[in-house]
Amino acid sequence: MLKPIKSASANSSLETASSSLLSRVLEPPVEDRRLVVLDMGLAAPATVRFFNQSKCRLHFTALIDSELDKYNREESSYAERVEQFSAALSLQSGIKIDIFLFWDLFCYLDRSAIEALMAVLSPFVHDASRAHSIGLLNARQKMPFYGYGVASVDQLSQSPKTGLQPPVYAHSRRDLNKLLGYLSVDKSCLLSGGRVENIMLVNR
Amino acid sequence: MIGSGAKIEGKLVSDEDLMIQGQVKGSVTAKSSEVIVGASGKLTANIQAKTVKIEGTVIGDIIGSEKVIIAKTGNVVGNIQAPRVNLEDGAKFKGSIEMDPEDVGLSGLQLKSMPEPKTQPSRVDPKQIG
Repeated sequence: MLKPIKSASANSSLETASSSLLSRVLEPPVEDRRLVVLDMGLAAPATVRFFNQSKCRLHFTALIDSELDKYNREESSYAERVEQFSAALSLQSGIKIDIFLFWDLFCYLDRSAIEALMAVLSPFVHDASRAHSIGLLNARQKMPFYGYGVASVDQLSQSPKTGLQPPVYAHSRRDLNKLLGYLSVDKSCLLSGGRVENIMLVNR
Repeated sequence: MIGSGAKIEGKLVSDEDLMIQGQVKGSVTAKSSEVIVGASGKLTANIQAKTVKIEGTVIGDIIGSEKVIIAKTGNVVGNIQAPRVNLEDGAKFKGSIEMDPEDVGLSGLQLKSMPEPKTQPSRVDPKQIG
C-alpha cells in the first residue's frame, strides 16, 4: 500500500559541489526521443528544475531514503533481495533507462544487495546507458549524509539530511566493478569531503 | 473551496478553480481551471486540471495541462504528467515525472499508469464546503 513519504529527508540548506563527470552522464540521446532518467533518491528540486526544459521522464525511486537495512540482512536469500528490490522500484516493464543516478546508494548496500539490485535493473539497461555514483575515496573516510541532485551540467546539489545515517559499506573500485557486472566504472574523480564520483558505462 | 472538515468519496468535477483543504478519495477533474490542495488537504485521488498546486498530501496521479507545482509542504506519491513541473525546496515526491515543454496547453493528456478509481457518488456535507 502506498503511504506518504516519512523518511530522512534533505533539509533546505542547499549546497553545491563541482562535478567533472556529470556533463558526460547527462549527454542527451542521439535520437530525438524522450530522455529516461532513474534517480535512486527522492526528487530533488534542483534535478526537476534542471530537466524542466527537456522532453523527459524522470523516475524517483526514493530507495536511498527507504529503510535500507532490509536489503542487507545476512539471512535474506538472493531471491528474496531481488524480490524486495523489484517491489521497491516497481519499474514499468519494457522501459529503457538512459541515465542512472545512483548517488551514494552503493555506500549503504552490502555486496549481496548490490548484486541483487543490478540483477533487477538489468532488463532496463541499453547499450548507451550510463550511470553516476558517489563513493568514498578510502574506508577511513566518513561518508557525509547528503541528499543529491543535479544543479547544472557541472554541479551537484547536496543538502544535509536529517535522521539516522545507515551503516556505510566502503567498496573499492575493483570490488564495485565486480559487483556491477554489466556496468564498469569508466572514470572516477575526487569530490570534496573524501568522496569520489564515478561514471559507469555498459560493458556488454 | 472544500473545507478541512470535509470528506468526499467519488468523482469531483469542477469548471471553476478548486481549493481542497479536506479529504478526497476518488478523482478530481477541473480541466480548464486550477486545483490547489491546501496544507491540510489529504487526497487519495487522481487529479486532472490546467494547473495543479500541492501544499498537502496526495497519493495518486496528477495531470496538469500547463503546470504542476509541489510546494515546500507538499508530499506526493504518484506519477505526474505536465509540460512543466516545479518542486519547491522541502517538497517530497516519489514517483515519475513526464515532462515535455512543447506540450503546453494540451488538454488531451490521459492518465496512463493508474486506472480510474472505482468510486461512488460524492457524499459532501454542504456545511463543510466554503
